Amino acid sequence: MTENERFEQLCYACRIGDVEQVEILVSSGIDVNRLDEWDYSPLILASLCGHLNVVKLLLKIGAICDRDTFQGERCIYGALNDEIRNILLGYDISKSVNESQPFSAHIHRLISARTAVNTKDMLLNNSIPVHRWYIRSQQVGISIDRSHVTLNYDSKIVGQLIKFVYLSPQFHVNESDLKPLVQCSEEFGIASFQQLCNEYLELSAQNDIKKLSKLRHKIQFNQSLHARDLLKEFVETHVLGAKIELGPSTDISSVKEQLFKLESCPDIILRLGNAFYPAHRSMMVRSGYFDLMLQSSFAEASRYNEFTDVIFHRDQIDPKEDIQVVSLTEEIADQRLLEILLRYVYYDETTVPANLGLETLYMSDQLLVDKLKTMAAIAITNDWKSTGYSLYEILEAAWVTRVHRLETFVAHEFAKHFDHYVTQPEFKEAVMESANRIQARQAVDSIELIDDIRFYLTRVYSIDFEKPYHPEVDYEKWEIQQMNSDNVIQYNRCLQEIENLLVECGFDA
Amino acid sequence: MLGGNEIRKSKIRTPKKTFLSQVDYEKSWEQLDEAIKQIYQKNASTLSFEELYRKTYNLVLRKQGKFLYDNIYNSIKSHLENDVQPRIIQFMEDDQIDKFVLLQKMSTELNDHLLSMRMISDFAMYLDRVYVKEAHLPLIYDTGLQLFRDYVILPNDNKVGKKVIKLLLQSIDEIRSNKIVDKFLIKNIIFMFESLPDEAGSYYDTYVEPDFLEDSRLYFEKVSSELLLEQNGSLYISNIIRLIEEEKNRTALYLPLSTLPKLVELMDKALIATKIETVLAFENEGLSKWVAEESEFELNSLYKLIGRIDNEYHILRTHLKRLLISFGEALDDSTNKAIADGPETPKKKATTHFVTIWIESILNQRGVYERILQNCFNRDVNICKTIDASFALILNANKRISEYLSLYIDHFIKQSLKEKSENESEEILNKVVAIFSFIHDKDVFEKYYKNHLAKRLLNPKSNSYDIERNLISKFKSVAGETFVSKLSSMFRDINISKEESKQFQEQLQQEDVLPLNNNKKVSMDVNVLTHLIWPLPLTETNVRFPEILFNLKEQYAAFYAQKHQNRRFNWAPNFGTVDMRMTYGRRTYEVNMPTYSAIIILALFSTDYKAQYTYEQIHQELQIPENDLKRQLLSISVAPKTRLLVKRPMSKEINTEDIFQINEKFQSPQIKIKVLTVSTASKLENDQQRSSTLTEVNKDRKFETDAAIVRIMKARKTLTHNNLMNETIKQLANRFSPPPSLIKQRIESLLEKEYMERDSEERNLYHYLA
Repeated sequence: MTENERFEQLCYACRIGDVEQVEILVSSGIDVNRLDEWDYSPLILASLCGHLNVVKLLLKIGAICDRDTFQGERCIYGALNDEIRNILLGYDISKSVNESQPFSAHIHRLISARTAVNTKDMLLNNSIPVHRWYIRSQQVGISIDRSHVTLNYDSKIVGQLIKFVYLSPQFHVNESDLKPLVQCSEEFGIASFQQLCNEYLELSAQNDIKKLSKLRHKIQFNQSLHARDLLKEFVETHVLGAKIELGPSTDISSVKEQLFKLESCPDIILRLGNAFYPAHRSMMVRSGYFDLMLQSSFAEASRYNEFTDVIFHRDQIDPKEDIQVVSLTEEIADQRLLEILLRYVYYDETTVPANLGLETLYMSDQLLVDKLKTMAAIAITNDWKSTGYSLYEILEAAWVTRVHRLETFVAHEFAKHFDHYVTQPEFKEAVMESANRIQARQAVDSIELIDDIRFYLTRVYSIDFEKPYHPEVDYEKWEIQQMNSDNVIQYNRCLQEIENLLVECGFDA
Repeated sequence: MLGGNEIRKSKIRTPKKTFLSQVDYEKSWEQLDEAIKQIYQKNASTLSFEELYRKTYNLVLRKQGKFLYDNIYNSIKSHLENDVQPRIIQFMEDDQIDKFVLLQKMSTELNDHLLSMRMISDFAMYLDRVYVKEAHLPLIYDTGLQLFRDYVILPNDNKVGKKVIKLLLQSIDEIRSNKIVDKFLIKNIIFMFESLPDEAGSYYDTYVEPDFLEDSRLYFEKVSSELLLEQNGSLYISNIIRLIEEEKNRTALYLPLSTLPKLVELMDKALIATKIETVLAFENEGLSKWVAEESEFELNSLYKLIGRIDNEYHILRTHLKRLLISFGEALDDSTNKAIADGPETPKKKATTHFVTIWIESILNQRGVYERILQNCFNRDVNICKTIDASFALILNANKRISEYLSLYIDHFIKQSLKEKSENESEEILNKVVAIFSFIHDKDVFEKYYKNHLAKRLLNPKSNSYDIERNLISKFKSVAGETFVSKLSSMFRDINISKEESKQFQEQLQQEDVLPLNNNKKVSMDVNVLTHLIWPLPLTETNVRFPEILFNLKEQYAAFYAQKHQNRRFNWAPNFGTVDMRMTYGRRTYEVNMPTYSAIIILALFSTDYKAQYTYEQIHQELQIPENDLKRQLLSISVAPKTRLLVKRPMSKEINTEDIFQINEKFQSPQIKIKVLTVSTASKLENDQQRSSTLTEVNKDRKFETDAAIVRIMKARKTLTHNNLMNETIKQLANRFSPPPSLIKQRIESLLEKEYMERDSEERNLYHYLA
């Protein structure tokens, strides 16, 4: 029976409420949080069909019902009766799941999903492919010297441990596996997993499902924080800290060899000017640019693509010949920028110094890292004054990199200091440029920049086009008052200046 | 454009770096173009992604998206036009090359192209993401596909395309004739056509699928026409089923899912819809033979095949109906033939025998269709209806069906019942009742059935009460309570009579007034029959009863009057039998004879066994109606086994001058003797009898129609003519189908009798008059 067939059987058993069948199937190792072709998880099915015992069992073995996700909400909403709903709510784990950690999802995907780029370089017990560098970064006590390592534990046990280390959100074990798991995690120094298994052993004796589930999520959450700390440490020491500056007496191939043989087992070398950084493809693919590059058949990826095995064999790679250094031109990045990039891809570091905002923006646009792009834009708008960029520079970057947030930010600034900018020749050029952009897009009537400025002017001068809706108000009088208020006079003056400018530029509107 | 340099002028501080440096567009493009050529040469692994991407990025960032896009477009186009197309054409025109090699070549060309396009669109990702999106153009990859279509496949009136399609269809034909063909290659080619876009869908949809379907249609037509030539329906059906299955399996390997339903429709049309009528009509191995032999495989296959094209099975139903009707038309002949072929039967039973075989043929046929419906047609509602309707048609086409059926039942209960097990007879009864339900003129049936039932009930030896009752309850479930009410009353009469006869006997015992005959005790069972219900000629007679019977009669009359008041009581000596002992010589016989015969013997010969009487004298003496008297005398003086009397002169006619006396030489091997009245067994009526029956039926129909009209009017008060007609027909449907003329006539008569009146203004409207 294939995994899919078993999962289908599990879904069916959940529909009809066959607890034994669910138990048997799950003990054979099915992911209980998988979804079927209509996006139903086994837990949704069981609660929808009102099988209390199946729901309890599924929760006990690690089915997730998170109110903050669509699946979880659906599960609670669809529960057949209040009894089931209350049990589900009792398991609500939203408090402990931190959605702001996409990097942990990425790491989990590295072993759980088929990835287009094969980055695994070590096989445990002939069946569990892993990344040497990650094993090392997480300080798992497994030797990473060879491609094939056989451990003294059953593959199922090792698999569980690896899943945990790779931040899998699932955790379901047979009670009989708990003891070897404790032993195994102790031997390899995964204290948190050891603790989890121990507590599980204790709690499952008391059969306190609720407590178990809470505990599990707490430990898993802490583990992802812990992993992040370890990664940070690893990046600082083994990636950023391991760079080699090309001296006059060194040649590139020896640098390549030197870096490739590092304990951190890098499989890609980045070059920036004379600086060479060891890095890992598995993390670099978080940048769309690197993902494309490494999936393609171009020089950078060709050697790795030759491996058809589940892992690639480090010992068969001749770093001098096979490794293509990936250069980043100084046009894109300097060392500070590259470090921002690396910190982001390895552990989601998204703090961008405001004075590198635009540079980061351009870099992440080119390297297709959308989240970093957003973070850079936010850094600029939050603290523009200290960035030293002119509004015109920001405006052009906004246009080029298509960040709308920056466009409106600039328009707002123009409106706030209208008199200061309106006379600058660059302002006129910006208006012209904005108009040209529009013609290119064939929208006829308006100039976006001008529209935005007009809009922000109403804000600046608190102009309200809506008449107050009140029976006591004398509208004529109100209108005259409005017309003569200082703000309106100022506002109208600004509008007039814009008109003048437009005429000057040769636009009629 | 708004260049970075110009903006920087406004900056207060010195620029820390150049955001957008100058780039030589033409030079960049030259390098990219060279790279594209390398990609075509499959030298991509020597190219640096980083470099190509950066060049694209810089061009796009500097608003050279259109420049780059157009250049890439032209570069691909010229590559296809100048390199790929000539290469393919050259191949195409080489007759020496095997078509599979050619298809393989074609497939490889496109695969190579797709691979190249994938790589170009990889490094040009930034162009796709930014410029292509804003300009609403197709992505580079899709552009590549379009160009392949326009500059390789379509040029010169779709030359390459047509050729490949032709080869493709040839290959598919070869697959169909079970030659070994690389199906994976076929799948690749089809996939290739599918991936080429076209205005509405893909190149496959526009060019390949129509040709494929036409080619398939020709293929199916050819195969099915060849099969039809064999004139063998079974062969056709089994081959077609296999063909459909094989075609489905075959095409699943290489055909797009969207074509399969079209292909199935095509097969259904070419193989089934246009052919099945011919197949059904085949004499050998056609519908009639399959039905006759109940060939389950063929009939079931037929059902499934026709179900594919018509879920109401019209063709099948038409043919079944035709089959049944011709069966019905031939039924008289086939029955005669069966009789001729069978063992000889006594002449006087011939008519009954005919009816039995006729009805049995119907019942058998019914059984055949029942089994076919159950086993082959999945009890399809529409087919069931057609078969039922056809049976109704055959049955009602026989004007005498009611009589036939009643006679058959009579025969069955009297004769065949003993030979059947309970289950068997239950099964036969069910079939009989099914046939009954098809009969339109149920009132006629009732008439005959009452007659036959009366005779059976009055026969003291009939042990069939259970089965009679069972039948009546079955009739009731089909035709309703009213239909069986008279039949039930007949049963009641018999039951009450039995009870009362018993009481009468007991009473006589107690009073010790038993009439004696030669010092022997006499007993009597009387059946008291309600006059209106029993279909018997219960006319008053002046028959002179002999003393012994007269006494019994008077005593019973007294007994009955004491139990029931205000009832008139007529004796019907034309029914019933008398058992008596007669001694001839030394032997005493127990003789069972009709009441009239007993009256003759007791009245005339019990005191003086030497007495002699002429027919005329007997008639004068006893006042027995002449018809009956003649029959009785024939029974006891002419019938060979029961010549209790001697007639002179001995002849088969009875004349007024004939002389009768006790036959002193009477001898019989059996002690028990039964005198049979001539013609007591039920048989078919002759024409005269039937016309009188029908006259009676028609008389009854008038009353029933009147009753129905009055019932309806009483409930509805006011009704239009048409509605009244319809309602009446509906009410009477269970009994018979009244012709409109009859209803009109009855309405007129009711108007005359002022049960109802016409509306003064609307002539079509009737009002009920209380």
